[in-house]
Amino acid sequence: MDAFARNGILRTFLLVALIGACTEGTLGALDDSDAPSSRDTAGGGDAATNADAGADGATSPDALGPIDDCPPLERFFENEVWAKVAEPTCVNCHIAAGPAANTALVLRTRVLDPDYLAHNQAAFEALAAQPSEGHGGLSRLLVKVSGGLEHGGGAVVAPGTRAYEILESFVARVADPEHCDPTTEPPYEQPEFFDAVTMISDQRLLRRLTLSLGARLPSAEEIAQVELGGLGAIETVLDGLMKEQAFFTRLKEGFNDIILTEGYDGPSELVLSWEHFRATRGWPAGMPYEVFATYRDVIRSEPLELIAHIVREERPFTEFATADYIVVSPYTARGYNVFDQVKDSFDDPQDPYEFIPFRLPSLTDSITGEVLQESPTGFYPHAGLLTTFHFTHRYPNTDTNRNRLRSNTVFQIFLGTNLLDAIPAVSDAAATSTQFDNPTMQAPDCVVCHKRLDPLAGLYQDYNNVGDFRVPRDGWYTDMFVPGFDGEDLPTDEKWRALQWLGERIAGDPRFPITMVEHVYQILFGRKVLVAPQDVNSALFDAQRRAYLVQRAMIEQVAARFVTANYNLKDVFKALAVSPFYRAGAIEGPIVDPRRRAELDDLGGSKLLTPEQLDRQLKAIFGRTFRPLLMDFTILYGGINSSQITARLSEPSGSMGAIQRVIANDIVCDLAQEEFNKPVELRLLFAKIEPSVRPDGSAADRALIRQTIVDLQQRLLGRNLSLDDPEVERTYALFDDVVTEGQRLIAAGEAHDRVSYMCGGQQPYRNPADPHFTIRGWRAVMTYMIRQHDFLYQ
Amino acid sequence: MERRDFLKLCALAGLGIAAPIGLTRNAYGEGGITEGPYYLVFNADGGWDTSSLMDPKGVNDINRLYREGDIRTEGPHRFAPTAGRFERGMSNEAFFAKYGRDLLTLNGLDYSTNNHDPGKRYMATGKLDSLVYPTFAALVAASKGSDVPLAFVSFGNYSATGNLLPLSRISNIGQLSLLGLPDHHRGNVSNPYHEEDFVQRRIQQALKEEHEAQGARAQLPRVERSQSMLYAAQLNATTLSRLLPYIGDEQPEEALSRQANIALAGFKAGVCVSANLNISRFDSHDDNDSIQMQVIPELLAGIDYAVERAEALGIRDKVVIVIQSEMGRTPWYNENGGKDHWSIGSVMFMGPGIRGNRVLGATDDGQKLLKVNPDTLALDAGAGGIHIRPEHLHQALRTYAGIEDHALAARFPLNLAAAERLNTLW
Repeated sequence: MDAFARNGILRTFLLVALIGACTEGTLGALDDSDAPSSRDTAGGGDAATNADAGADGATSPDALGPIDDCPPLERFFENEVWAKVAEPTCVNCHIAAGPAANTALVLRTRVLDPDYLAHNQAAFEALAAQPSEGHGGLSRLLVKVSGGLEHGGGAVVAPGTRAYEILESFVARVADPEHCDPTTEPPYEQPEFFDAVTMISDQRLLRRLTLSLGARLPSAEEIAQVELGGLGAIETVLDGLMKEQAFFTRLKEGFNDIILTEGYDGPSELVLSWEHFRATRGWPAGMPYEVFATYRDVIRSEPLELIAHIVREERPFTEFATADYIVVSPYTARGYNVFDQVKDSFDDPQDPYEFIPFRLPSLTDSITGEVLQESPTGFYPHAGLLTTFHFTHRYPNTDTNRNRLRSNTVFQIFLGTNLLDAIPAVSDAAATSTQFDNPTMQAPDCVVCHKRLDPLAGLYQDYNNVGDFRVPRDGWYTDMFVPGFDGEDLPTDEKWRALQWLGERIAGDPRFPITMVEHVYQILFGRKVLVAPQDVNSALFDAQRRAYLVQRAMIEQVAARFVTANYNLKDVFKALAVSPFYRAGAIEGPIVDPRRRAELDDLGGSKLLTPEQLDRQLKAIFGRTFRPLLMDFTILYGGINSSQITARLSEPSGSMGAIQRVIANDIVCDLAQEEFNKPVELRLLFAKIEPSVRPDGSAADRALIRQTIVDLQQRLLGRNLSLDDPEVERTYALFDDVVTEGQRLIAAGEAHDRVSYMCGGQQPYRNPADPHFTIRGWRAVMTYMIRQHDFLYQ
Repeated sequence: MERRDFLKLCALAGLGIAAPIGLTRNAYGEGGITEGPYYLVFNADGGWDTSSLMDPKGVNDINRLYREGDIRTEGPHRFAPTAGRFERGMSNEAFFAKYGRDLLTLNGLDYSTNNHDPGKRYMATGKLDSLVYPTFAALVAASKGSDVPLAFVSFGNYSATGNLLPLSRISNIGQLSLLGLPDHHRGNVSNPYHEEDFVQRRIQQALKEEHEAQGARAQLPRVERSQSMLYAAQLNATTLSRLLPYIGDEQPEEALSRQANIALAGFKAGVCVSANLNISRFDSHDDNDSIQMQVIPELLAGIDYAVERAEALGIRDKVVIVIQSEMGRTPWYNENGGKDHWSIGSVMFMGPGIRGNRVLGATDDGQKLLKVNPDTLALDAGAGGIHIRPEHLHQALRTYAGIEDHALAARFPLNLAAAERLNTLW
């Protein structure tokens, strides 16, 4: 290795030493006892107390010490070998459930073993210290990764690459603990992670949460509660909020973004198979269209209603994968032909939207009654979402796919793993396909995924391509890895309840609670959690990895609380809502160092409102909505249809900006005149002022205008501003200028002294007199506010 | 530190900052205008059967639609005969006759994977093992037109932006008509919402002041980025109206052509740099021949529409076309008459500066790839031959677009050895 390459490694290494631990000061708010106040920087004094709760238990801030060209080997292993080579490359195969499970190198992962680093370092050291015959005594580690010694995965790290150089350095350090080279990298004085980050106020947090999860503004009682109890009162408020129907609407919407069952591509009732339900699945046929439409609506929503039921009843959320029941409504129960059995259990058997839990009997031919499903219990072996017909229909199969889509979807939804994300580049995959009799079981490039994918796929063998339950006449494929899960084969006597067997394992898997926290994170934050950085050549790799690990530590801590709370999903919402990650709002000064900027790049709860959330916010603040938003404009405004379009847009394009402008104009088009037409006690926005109050009036008039602006800023934007705040002044100037110029135009005969009749339809207030142009002035003020970041983002 | 300097620093550092507003405004103070070139990426979503298009195989029962002697040629292009085998669309014969001289075909492309999502990601970005790399269409849009209102439009397929710019989805022209005049009731120019023009101008002035006040404060990167993008999005909104005059009077029936129509109007108006067009239904696990004979002619008809439309708009010499799919299909039929996933395929290019009338690379009689010498682009089974993979194409595309040394491209390196670059591809 030449001097330049060595310096490259060491530059990175020094950065790591300086950036170092990912453990400090991140999680104070997860524990009520030491929650920082609203203006606290979340690092600072909490750093020491939270150090152990931080990232991966490997490094503490105290251990960092001064700038050190030659940090301990364990630090080098963690930040260089593990972060940049082993985790992104070796873990795909060298784990207990992977295709290299029978080799000498079996690694452990963070989520399954807290002491994974020590174990893995020892394994790597042993490999590094072994010279290999026939390769000039070169370390076995280096020979293996470059494809030698019959490495099953072939060449995964090429000589000359950064990753290879890191391994070379590791080998040298194992051989000679004194091995070290100087560095020329400028130092980075690593601050504690939340240093200088300021949190949004408790009241602003309250507003964000009530709008986000409750589709409403905070009540006076809630405001007082938080005024009195500060951040500690937020969880109490959430306890109440999470009993409201609006919360469950948001919960279902958020989980549909993840499971996408609303995107089933067919008439809803067809999730019930012809064979088992043909006599009843179309029961509203011949009835008014509205009945059928409602039936289709409710039956499609059943998986999401199951989730809502589990959360509403505060049942362990492991039931997402294990619930031995489905939920049915009076309408869907008819589809299943069980209405007579359950009708007395409904509060209102006429309410199509009331859902209650129910265990289906094992499946029979709906006409002949012939039993078509083996079941020692006599019941359909429910396993939460896993066994809903909606899931199997939403993720259909083909003869050659062999349930692999379903398998990978289960991995994603329940265990946070997309096996296709880690798919390796195969050297001539087509040649590989023909080189082996059975590539998916023999070719190392294929086995890496199929060994994990195919066993779970086999658990779905009793569901046909479209998603109906139908036991294959000729049994399951024998040229696939046998049905099972993560290295454990499905016992023969469990086959009739294979997915229940799977659900039990998912519920006990440490990845499950972490994945559920990640789902709630996505619902609250509007984006997915960070993934580990991959470009080891980037100068910002270490900063990005620090951000990743700090966030990971928070996710893991919330997951631990989730487990302790008997998997009550509401606890996850509460923990995330008060975490500094959600409350981070600003920074005390400019961020000069790009590495610091990279660390903080993803921080904060700010997110563009989805079409659905914006619609609800309009309703909450103005008492009205902009109907096209959830009709013609949903996709254009970044929404999804759960089938072809499944990812929401997080930043607005020009066309979305146009929609924002339309909304800001349209929603207030007749709002001011409508407001002023109401008795004062019924007004939402202008209870203290009348159109006769003008900027060119008395000092009291001008004060009243300013106060109204302060009130509007609070209601529309959640800002608590003083009368002399620059933003109040700016808004006042807008109102003043519009009114003054409008009055001039009226006087000159160039503008009407009445509001245009364009807005307001047939309403009596549609065309009121506006001789002072003040109604139109207030309309301009509201348009101005709606178009702002604080309105359109949470 | 000046804000501009700060932004430059961040850009150099590779951070996701939106383009600073106001640096390249047009004369109206709205979004910028791009003069081209413009990039259209056609995606045959699901995996095309190249033996039914540009890489015909008349042997080994690879394709049952024809025999070896039926294979047609047009200059160096060899293609499957499809005339008369479908109901709607354009035949291979017509397509190659019309565009063969403009068309660069590369066969024997190594997709390296048999799976849809990774394949789409790889073909779109040139990077298989990353979830954060932008598509080429997004990268070129961000590099060449970061302040252009609809710089990157996508109608489907893998569309990651690398956090470089916002993605625009436009599903129908009617929406554009309504949104083209967002400050007017129902898009009617005679009905401004705020009645008097000065009101809207005064609102915009207040928003500008508010945006500047926010910008003067230290912000978290995410907030700073979103404020900048929001302001740009609203400012750019009125420029949508520039696109409307270039939407043809008659809307095409086929979905792909409709997508092309919107994209090309955006190009002509200078408000769009690149577009991802998508036609699905290629995933023919059952009844391969019937399905491919529906979608291939539809794909070719869409390309033909796009070129014709570009010609009509006077921008054909500025439109670069990439025609691709995420994988090929097996050189055999399964028991359902379908073909499953195959990691070897093809790609085609047309556009200014691209020498057409050429076919590079090849597959053998088993539809396995043959190596290519990256220097000469000739087949080379020796040590000098390589598998052409998506990263090779993307490196070449970056060079072609003049963005390989752009700071944004540098943030997403392809790490291709100099010896493997396809320097003479174009």
